[in-house]
Amino acid sequence: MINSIFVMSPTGEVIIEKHYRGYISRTCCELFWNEVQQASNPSEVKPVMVTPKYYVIHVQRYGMFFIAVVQRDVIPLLVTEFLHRVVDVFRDYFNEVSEESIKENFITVYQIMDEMMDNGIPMTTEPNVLKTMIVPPTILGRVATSMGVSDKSNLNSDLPEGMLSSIWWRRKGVKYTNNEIYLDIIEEIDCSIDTNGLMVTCDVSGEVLVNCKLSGMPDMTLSFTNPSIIDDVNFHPCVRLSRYERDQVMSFVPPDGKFKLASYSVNTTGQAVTLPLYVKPQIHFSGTSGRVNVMVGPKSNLAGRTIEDVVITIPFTKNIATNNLSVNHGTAHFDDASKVLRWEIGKVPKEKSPCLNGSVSLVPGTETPESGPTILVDFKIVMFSASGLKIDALTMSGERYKPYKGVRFVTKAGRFQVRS
Amino acid sequence: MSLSDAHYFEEMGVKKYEEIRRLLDSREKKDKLEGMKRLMAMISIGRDASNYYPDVVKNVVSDSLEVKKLVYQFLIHYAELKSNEALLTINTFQKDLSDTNQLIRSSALRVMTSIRVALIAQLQVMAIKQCVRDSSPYVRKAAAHAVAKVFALDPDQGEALKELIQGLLQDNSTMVLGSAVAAFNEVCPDNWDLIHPNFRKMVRLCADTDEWGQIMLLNMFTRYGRKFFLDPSTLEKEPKDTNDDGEKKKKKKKKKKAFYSDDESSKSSSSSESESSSEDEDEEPELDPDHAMLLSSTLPLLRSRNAGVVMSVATLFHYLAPRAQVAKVGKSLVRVLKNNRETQYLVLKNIATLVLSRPEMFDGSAKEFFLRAHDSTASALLKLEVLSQLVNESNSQLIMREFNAYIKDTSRDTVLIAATIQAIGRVAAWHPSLTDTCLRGLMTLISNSKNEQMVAESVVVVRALVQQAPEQRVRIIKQLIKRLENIKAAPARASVIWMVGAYHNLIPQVAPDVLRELLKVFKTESTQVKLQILNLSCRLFLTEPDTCTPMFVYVLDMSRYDTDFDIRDRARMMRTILLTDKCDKLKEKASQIFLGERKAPEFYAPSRDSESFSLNSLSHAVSHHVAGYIEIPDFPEDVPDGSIRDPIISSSSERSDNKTSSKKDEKRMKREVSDFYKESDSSGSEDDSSDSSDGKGSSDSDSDSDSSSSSDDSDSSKGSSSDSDDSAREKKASQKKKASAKKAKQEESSSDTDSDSDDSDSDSDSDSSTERRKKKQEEAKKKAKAAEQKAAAAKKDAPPPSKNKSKEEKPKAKAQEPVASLIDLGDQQGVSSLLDTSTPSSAKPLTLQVETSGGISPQGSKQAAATPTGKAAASMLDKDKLLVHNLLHFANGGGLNVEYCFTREESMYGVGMNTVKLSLHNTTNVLMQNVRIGDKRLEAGMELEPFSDVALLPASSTNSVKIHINFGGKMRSAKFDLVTDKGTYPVALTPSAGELVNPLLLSEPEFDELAKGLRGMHECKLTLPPVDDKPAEEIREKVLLLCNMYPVDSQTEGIYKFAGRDLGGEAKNVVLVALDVQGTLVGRSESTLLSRQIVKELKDAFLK
Repeated sequence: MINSIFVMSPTGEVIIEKHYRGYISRTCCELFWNEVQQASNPSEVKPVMVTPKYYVIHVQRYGMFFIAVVQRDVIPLLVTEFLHRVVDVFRDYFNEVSEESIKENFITVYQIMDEMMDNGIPMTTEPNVLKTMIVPPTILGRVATSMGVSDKSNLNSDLPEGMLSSIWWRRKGVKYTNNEIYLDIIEEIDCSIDTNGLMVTCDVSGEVLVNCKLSGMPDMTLSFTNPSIIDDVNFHPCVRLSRYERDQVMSFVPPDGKFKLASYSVNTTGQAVTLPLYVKPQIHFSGTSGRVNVMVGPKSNLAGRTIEDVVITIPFTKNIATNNLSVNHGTAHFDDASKVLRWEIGKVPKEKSPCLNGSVSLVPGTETPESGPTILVDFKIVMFSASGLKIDALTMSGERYKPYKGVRFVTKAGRFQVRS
Repeated sequence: MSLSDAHYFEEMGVKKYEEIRRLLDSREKKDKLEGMKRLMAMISIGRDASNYYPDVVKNVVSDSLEVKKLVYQFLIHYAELKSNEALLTINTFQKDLSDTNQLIRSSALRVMTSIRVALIAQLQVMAIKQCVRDSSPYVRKAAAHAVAKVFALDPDQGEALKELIQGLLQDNSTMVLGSAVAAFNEVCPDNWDLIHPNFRKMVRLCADTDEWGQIMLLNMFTRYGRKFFLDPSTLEKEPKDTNDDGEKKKKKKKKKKAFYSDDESSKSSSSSESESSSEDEDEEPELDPDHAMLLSSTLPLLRSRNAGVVMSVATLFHYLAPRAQVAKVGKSLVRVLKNNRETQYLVLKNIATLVLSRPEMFDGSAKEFFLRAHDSTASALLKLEVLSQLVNESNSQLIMREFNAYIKDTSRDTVLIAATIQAIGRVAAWHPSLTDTCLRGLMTLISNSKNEQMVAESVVVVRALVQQAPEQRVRIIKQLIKRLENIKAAPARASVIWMVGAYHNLIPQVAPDVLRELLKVFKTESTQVKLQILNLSCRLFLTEPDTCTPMFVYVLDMSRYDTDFDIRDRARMMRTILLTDKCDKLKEKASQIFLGERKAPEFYAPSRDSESFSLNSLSHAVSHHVAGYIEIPDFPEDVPDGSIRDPIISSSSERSDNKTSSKKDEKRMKREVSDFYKESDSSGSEDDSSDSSDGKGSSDSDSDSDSSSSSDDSDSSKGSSSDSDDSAREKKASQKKKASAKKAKQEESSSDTDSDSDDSDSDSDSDSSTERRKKKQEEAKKKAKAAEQKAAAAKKDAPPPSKNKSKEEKPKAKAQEPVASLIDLGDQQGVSSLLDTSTPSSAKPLTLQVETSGGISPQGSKQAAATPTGKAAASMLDKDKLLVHNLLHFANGGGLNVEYCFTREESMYGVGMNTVKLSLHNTTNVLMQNVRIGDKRLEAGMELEPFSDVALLPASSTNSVKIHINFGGKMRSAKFDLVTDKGTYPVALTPSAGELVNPLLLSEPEFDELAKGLRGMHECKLTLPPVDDKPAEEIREKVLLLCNMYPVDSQTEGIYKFAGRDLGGEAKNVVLVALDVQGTLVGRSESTLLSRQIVKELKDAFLK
């Protein structure tokens, strides 16, 4: 089981250390940091590292490193999943996870880490329960404390009642003046397209994110008009699996606040997903120069939605010497150090197709690449569902009031890449 | 003043340190908090704050939870360094352990056990002992964690800890279970005896446990299954066919059970469940039911959002499931891959191993393993490996095209390109049909690519492929030789030259020529290549000495002055052996030395290194043995006995009957039971009223028979109402079990097939209308002759589940017989007249029988199923033999006679409770109403759960009810009032000491071990007259009758040993009784008083 957890800033400074099974010197983090520095990119460091005395398992989120040190055999996925959960909880508490936010709230961080794990075994990990036990810091509270007005503890002295009940994920006695529930259905298109413009792989996966601000014990039912689109799905523990198996309806008593209700993958075997936009790169090298031409444009199946936040990233080979590239829309920036071109298009205009044009020259005497680099595409379309999933109804029972219900679809590029 | 705490990280001047002491000594909570914050910041920055330990210790008594928690954290952080000071705090924690707030209790235990000072391990064990019994699962969870802590600190405590774990494993709270299993895995991972009785419960509760608990459980299940279930592949003689799919679906349906206790689904699902479970039996007759249950109830966990759970389920299926079922897991694993970077890597690592033995698992998912631009190198390498394993006829085109794209992609790491080429090589080697295409592709690479490294890698792979079948690939060798000039990379050149040497016999003309060409450039070659040229020339010299001797000598001469000593040495050796006469013996064997055949290299996947480690372990991830790694055992060869998992002492037939119900959620079960009480009572009273209205003549005999039928009915309605939620199948099963009398009736009434009789049975149950009876009666008439034989046959046919059942059967059948013959006589008589004529004497035993059977029927068997450690000691004895005492004599009770007996069943209201059956007998000839328990006058520490009111107690009838009493471990009377509509009667129920214990199953060595520890004041010795004249059975029975204990299987003649456990006391102490034939009676227990009492009672009993 986990011996100790360290939190390391992007610059390699240990900012939090918490030991669950006796003290372990933070020197093992230095070994880890060496590894990070030797790697071409922090993400190249393997999640499991062997040091002479310990095993270092880490996850990277928000540029920070969350490191677990273990001594004995353990299920590695339990460790990484737990670390991710810790980060999720931090984000839930502090709205962001950064060196700053952790330092600012380090006492709360220690309190949370103490409650989440005991003796290296996860203990209370449900955000709703944690939040009742350890009240998240608020600006107001901080002001009051610093002025000496209030000395209210942020620790609840009683165990939350809900914790021991069968619906342990929901706090008791939740009250809102405005009862609202918001659903964000975010779908990502993972896709790779080969040099001939053919789709090699294309998957659509989605998440149902809920922001629940409902009083009491509401019982929600979410149904879809075309549930068969959902292929494989996993749920928050609150969803009644039996009900889903039977009716393909998500029935649940939601936790309070933000949570991920489900994530699903879309059945793409039947029909190919039509992509919302096209990217046609033509990058050819000959001798010491290369011609670059990239065209981007929307496809017609968008039902009037516009594609936003389009960014094209082209990681050129390292032996590029100079470039002479221009765009007719948006801004392009070429980073000389990493030789990466980042072309921010923003909204795709209807009247013309954005186009990147120009040439690059190679450092003389180096090898001429045989093919172009893999281009990464990023975009977002609001109120559009790539899979075509439609919500039939979101109903509530168990409470008297009428909640306000908001649903939003967003389609984003996941790992969308085009080979050139 | 700053709003953020971030400044603590920066402004740590010396001055600030000075202040901390002052702050900690302050009375103000705010100052203390400030001081603690600074200390925590020091820890965060990595400075040593241990000097402040004494100052912090003082604050451990702080009232503020916030300060307290920080103090706790600080204490734990430095406890090892400052063990002496840490000891000062122990008292505080011990005090906090009995705080009323569960949060404080649990954190006190956590801190106390986190102080890693071996000196206090004893105290820690005591503290855990206390908390294991805590009413709050939150505290018990902390206790489970603490067990592992103490074990790490002082492994000598293992035995005591094991006992604690045993207790924790029996816990029914899902919150505790996961942690208890974690402790089990750590402290005594091979002590399966602790798991057996709890196994089924754990499987059932697994779905409701939190995700981390699920991981622990699944891990344990996997090891357990490999140890105690048979290898499913040995059972799969004939491959399963198409209906397998259907079965799967049903299985999926089955899983939902345990989730929420949602009633909505219970009906439909239960019916489908019964179907599928019966189907299961048909299709997989050999898979142990527990094995099947484990698989079916863990499968739904694949839906978990936690990748760890999904991987653990996959591991379980990999090791335990029949091959056909494992494939289901593949899809979920692929889904999990899309998670974050770390998960992806770790899951891939496992998949890479899985795919070696089960490529079919990922059939059709090949696309998911295509490289993405975001993949880290480590993940990409694993993906390539998986892909190369997945190639088959249908997807080879696709995958090879993909490989091609990777090679061309310049933005990729060279490591990856090399790995891709190796992957192609593996594919070529494994799939003969693809070898040629692959070779062609590689050759084009060699000839066209400008990337030296790529060429080098390709040549090496091609060489390895050529080695597989050199004769067929002469052309390839020649092509490579042609390209030799252009191949620059040393390893590639060396490879080609080696090939020329190794296969020179295949290319007889070419080889010398190649050597000649090489000699020209020998000087400029790298060491690696030079060595190969040396080898080549040597080989040629040996095979074609005529043409090649000069060249060989030339090479040797050149090598003689080489800068590399390796080459100089090699050349010298060759010269000495081959060209001089110094060592003739070697020269004779020269061809063996220099022309030896080499074994072709094998292509194997890099993941083979990890293959020997069990999936989903750290050892597997790092490919070496990590401390604490537990191997997955092999399947046993012999059929493991499934009955080890039976909740202690319950016959096997009962188990199969209850199989469906045992899958139910425990909670639901409890609820049902309590519901059932209500329902049965109400329906019973309804029946009563309807029956009494039915009965026309209200003579004495009528009321007698009436009551008999009513109690019969209520019995059956009990069954049906309790089962209404459940499947019809279960209903039948339980009915079969509890009412064999009915069975006899059935058999009499219809000699049709079983299902028919079942139908008629349920009909008669649900409807007690006269018409039905008439019908039945007519049917019965026809078959009256056969009836008797049938009844007898039924007795034989029915499996003898338990003694009492067959006991029950006999009088019932007897009771039936006169009825049947009466029917025979009175053709034209209606039901009422039938009942009229049935003599009281024949009806009476029936009535009584129903009463006594009430003790074991529905509730009894259900509870035994629900609580694995069912206090079923009574089943060692005949139920009827249980001592019955009088509680209220009818003379004092206004005609109400009450007898009680301890049923020795585990009470559903909690441990420590005794279940007492009260037989309420109305001796008057008037109806009694509203029989209930009135005022309770209990002493402190006692509890009493009354029976639900008996609305009607007809004249001369008897009703059995149950109450649950906690005597608090002492022999004192439970005083309460029994109230009827006629009056209030105070009674006192005094337990015998023997009922205040729980049976405990011990082996003799265990018994002796425990006995050794209980000497002196814990021992109580009495002497009896020698009992050697009595048979062993009688003695044993006598003791068991009096004490709720288990006999210990004793090897020594003449000594009888019994073990139990204090039921009500705080300590749950063991109570041991030993009796030898000489008449020495010894009781040992830490609860001295109790054991003394028991021994005294026993003595009295024997003296009688």
